[in-house]
Amino acid sequence: MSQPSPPDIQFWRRTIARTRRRVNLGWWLEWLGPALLLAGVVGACAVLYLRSTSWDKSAPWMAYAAGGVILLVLAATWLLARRRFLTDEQAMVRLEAQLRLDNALTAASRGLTEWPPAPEANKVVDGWTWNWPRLLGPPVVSAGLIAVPFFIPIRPAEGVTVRPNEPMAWQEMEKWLEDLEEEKIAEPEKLEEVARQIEALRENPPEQWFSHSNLEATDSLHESLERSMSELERNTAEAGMTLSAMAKFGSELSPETAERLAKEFAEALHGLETGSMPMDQALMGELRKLTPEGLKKMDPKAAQELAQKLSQNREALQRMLCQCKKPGEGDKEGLLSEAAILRMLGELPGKDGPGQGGVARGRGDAPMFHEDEESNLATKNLQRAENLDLSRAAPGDVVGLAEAEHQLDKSPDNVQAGGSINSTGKGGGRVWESDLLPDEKAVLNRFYK
Amino acid sequence: MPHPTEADLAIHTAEVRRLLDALNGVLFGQERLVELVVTGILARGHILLEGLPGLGKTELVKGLAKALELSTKRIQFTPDLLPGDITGNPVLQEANGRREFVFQPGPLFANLCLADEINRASPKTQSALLEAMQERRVTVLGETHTLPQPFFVLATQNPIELEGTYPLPEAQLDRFLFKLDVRRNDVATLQRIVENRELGVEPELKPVMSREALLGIMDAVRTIYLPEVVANYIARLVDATHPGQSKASASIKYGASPRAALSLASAAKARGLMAGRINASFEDVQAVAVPVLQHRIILDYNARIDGKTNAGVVGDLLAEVPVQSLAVPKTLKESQPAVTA
Repeated sequence: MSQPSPPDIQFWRRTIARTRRRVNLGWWLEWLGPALLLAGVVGACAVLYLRSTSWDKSAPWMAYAAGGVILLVLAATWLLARRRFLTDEQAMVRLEAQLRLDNALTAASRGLTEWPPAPEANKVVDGWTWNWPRLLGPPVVSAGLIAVPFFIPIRPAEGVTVRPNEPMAWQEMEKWLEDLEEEKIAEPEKLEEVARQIEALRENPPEQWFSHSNLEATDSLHESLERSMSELERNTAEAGMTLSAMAKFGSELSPETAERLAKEFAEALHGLETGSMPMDQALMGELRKLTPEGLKKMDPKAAQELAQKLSQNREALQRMLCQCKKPGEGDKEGLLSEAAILRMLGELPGKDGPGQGGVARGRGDAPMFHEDEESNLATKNLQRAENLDLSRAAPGDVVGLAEAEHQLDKSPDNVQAGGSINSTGKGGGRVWESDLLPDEKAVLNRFYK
Repeated sequence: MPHPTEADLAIHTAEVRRLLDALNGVLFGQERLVELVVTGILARGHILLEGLPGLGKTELVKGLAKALELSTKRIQFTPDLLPGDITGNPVLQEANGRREFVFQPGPLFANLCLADEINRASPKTQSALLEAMQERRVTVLGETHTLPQPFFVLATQNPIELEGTYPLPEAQLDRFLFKLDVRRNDVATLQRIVENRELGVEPELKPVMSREALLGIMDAVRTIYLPEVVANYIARLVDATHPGQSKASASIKYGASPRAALSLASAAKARGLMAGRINASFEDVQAVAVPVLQHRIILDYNARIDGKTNAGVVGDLLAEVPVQSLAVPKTLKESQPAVTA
């Protein structure tokens, strides 16, 4: 056996390696074709979806995602195709079978004979050509699949990111705050504080707006604000009524009655000043000037105007509160008219008032007696009793008494037209059933800590 | 087993070439047949020649016997031929005052046995050849007699459709390495025969290869390198002859035996040596596949009705079974292989 010629060996090794690479590339491309078609379909769906949403075309993640998908497809198809890849020896056999070399390459690789002489042009046509339709078809179709959705007219769906409606209690409270500020009824600082609390609730993620804790806080804030407004309305009404009575009947009142009225007026002013929702400072300043001596010397017309202003504020507060009054709740509950006040004080005789006693007493109904107007024994005036030391409070203990109650839906169940709403609700029955006031919650938190 | 050197191969190839030339000199227009017969001889195989009378079958065998300087016996098979007539019989002889049976060898005891019109003998007589062909020995009355080396049976038969013939049993057919169809000559060959031959005069043929040289070449054939991929191709080709193993096998009732695979390998090696190669190749297997396999497969009834032939079905198998079991990606397509110079 003669020695093989090195150039022949190199030539055939090169040719074998080229055949191996070509066949292996062919296998890879064969797997890549269907994968590209699949990726094209998925890509087309993705483009359609993204175009139907308000997508940001300049977002870099899209380029990264597209590149990642392409790399993934390339790697996956390479791994799948690897099972069919040829080794050098298999490529050599395929090459010699194609060239009908009588297995001369195999025998030469075993060292049994010489390598066949290399062709003069050093070029072998190994009998394979690329199947271009099969090669180009999948990528072209895939590119077309991805391109077509760009030309389909699609209007992005607007408002896909739907923000849920806010709890109606927020809007109601904000309306109150707006009206209070507009009417200059309450102190702006207090209003801003409530507004900040509402804003703090709103800053929670929308999906948590209707969570149990959020609705509890909302209801608590709503009740607190409503209670403050009621307190303000009651004090305003009392101050207004007292002032009006003093303005109208100031000269006719006995000194004791005038003193009592002045005292009541002073108490009402104190309530307006120190209540949970103080009165607007401008009006408060004018009222504060009205000392008992000042009241006597005050121009009745000016006093009447001031009383009128208080009355307007009271009516505005009533209007606001009436919007949330439940059916059956009286508008003037706990309030007395000017005449009623005077009758109660014994300054006005007549059937509407209680008698003064004595022989010369006229007709008068005793309190709790049947009459047209309800007797006001001031039994419904709640006084706040507060336990300031809650460190040892336990569930079941009374932590305080406050003029507050849980929001109960007292609207009657009636037949109603379809689509109409009787009660807008404030979060559902489950909330108020387990509703607790802030102090109660604080006790529970402390107890179970 | 060491493989032969290229120098040895060159000597053997030259001797084989001289033998082919000598045979082609007496049998005109049958180069392919002559090549296959010599291939079969070098592969130590028995050969069945099938063809109509007068096509040169017997002439070829006789020419081969002359060219190889081998002892030759001819057996004309007839329906009344008995097994003992070909294997030999014990004959009662008297020697030294004693009578004893002495085995008298039959015509099988020769290097080259021409079994003329083998399908005219009864199956019983045909079966007498089984042991001789496979094991190259004969057993008569419990006594085994070894046949001379080399031993070949070159049988001829008329197409089995002719009257007065008995189809060879499958077991015996399987023992023939090749079944060769002897076809009629074309006009040019007939003219050459007419111009160069006389009726009743046998052509002269000088010996071109000694018995020892033949045995040496036959030994060299066994050392020819059979690549693993070629062996795999042979195995897959034979497996594909069995029903259900390939599309072409739908026409086949019974497939080829392992002996067919051995025969293919041996014939491919012999052909490789004749081509001066140190290895057998896919092309060698393809070249000898039809003569090796066509008599070893049995077509089913429908295929025969459809006019399919055994050789045609083997051709279909060759077209169907790739030389390498690995598939080719569809992104590549085969073009005409060519080596550009």
